[in-house]
Amino acid sequence: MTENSVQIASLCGGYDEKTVIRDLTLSIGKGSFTAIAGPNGAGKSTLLKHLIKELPAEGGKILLDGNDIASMRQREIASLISFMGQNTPRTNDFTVCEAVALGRFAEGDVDPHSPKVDRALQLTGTGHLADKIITRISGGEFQLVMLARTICQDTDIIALDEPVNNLDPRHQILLLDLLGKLASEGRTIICVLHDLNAVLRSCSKCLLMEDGRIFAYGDTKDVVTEENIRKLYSIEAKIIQDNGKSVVLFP
Amino acid sequence: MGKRRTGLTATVLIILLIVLTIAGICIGSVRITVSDIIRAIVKPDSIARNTAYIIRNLRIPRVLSAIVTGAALALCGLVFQSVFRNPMADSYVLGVSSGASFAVGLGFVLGITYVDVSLPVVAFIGSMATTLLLFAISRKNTTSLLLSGISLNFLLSALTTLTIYLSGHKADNILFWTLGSLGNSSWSRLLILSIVTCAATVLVASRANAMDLLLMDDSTAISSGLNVKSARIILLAVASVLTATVVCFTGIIGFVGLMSPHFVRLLSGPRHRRLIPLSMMMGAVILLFADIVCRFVIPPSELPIGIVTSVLGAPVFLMLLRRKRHD
Repeated sequence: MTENSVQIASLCGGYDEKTVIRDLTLSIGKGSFTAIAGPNGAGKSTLLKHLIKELPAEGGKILLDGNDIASMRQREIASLISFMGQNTPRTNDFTVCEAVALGRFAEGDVDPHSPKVDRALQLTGTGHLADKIITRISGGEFQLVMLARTICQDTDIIALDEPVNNLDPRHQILLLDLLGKLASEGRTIICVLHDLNAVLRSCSKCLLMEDGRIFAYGDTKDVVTEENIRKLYSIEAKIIQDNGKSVVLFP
Repeated sequence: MGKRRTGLTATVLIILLIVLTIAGICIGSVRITVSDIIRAIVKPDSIARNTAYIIRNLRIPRVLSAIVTGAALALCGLVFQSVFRNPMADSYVLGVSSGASFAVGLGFVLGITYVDVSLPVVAFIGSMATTLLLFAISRKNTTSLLLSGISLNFLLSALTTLTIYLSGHKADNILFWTLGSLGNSSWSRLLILSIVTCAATVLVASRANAMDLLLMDDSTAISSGLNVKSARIILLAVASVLTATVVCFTGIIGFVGLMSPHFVRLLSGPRHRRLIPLSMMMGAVILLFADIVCRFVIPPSELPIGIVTSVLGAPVFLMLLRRKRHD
């Protein structure tokens, strides 16, 4: 039986006066690369915000590696899960290594020249940018740097909200392959993605969400189907096989 | 690059602090030499009594007050700018200083404010009352807090003007106080100001890494392990109490809190581990220099220091903003 990294039981939550997540129960296995997809407003990003406890749960429970986050301090949660948000603003003049080192905040060591920072930069292929200022690198490079910051946090679970947004195809593939590599090393990757072809190409599991609930969840090839796409997005799509890989064709 | 530039900046600031401190003691209506200063400290009986008194009880407390006040204002500005992720935020934007001005003005109109006696107390109460009101009316997020502060600032500034209008012959007192002065410096005031500034510095410096994270977005900061809400509340409370303490002794001194962190950020980057000490040194240097200028321009009377900081600061600030930090 696969060990679960994330267990969510009857989760209800959302923002002050708006419930977004409705009675969601889910288990995510250790070492899996799980995509979360679904229409806009389905609650994908909100679910991730609950996982890092940016939003408190209105009801239900979230266990990370068996620990109930409701009773945990933010620093303790940060030792279990790291997070990369979508469109992180670049409003300051940190150098790349300074920004990456902030991933070590929970450990109390934000030295930009520590070996862990260096390793995260090497892993994401951004070592050559170490002394550049983050406002002066390209959007694709910045996303990789933010991923390096997340890796530098050194957690078993990594959550990412639309990490390939605004990236060219080369950077998209680079980033998704890196996430796949991390999953193969035993880390649990949970990633909101809109591009179903990216989901099919890179993710082992897929959670389709609709209106704060699970629409479908399971192995990617079983979940990303023509029928589910039609029902969930109200569009006709065709899934073809190309060199043994599934590809979604949209009208 | 960072370490070298930071070291150079710190060295230059320390040299400027020493030079300006000596100049600040020497310059004034009574001319004092460096040897007078040394003798007044080491062997006060060896110089004229008046000179020794001026050095020991007027000039030195004033110069040290300028250093501590400048450092405190810079620290407040830095905290507000980091917490709000807004380079234009400082004590004045939130109305904290205007609250003190209004309370002082109202006190004069009602006859309960007396210069040197109740003024600092009234100012402190006005400043803290404004801070508490601000927290009470805007609890949702920093944008709401900032906008509420701006609104309060406008309201309280208008009400301060009204008190000037209604206060008749006491209008000069209110006006002079709202333009700031270090003329009332004394050892006892300096002691209180130093204690509060030291405590605030320790509280802020221990959160230097948290302040770095606050410059990122909330989700990144939270997921990195920072309790964003509590960090913001603590930092804002510390900066507000410090602002109230400074304002109640010196009146309103603009621009130092706004520009000191900017100067340093341009020189050594955004990390608060470097920004906190360097900004405080920069604030001290700026205020020391401004205090000398305001005593020097129209002797024997002196200009309000708030005018000097703004007149000198604005053009230099604009010039520096045109330059960008290089790799």
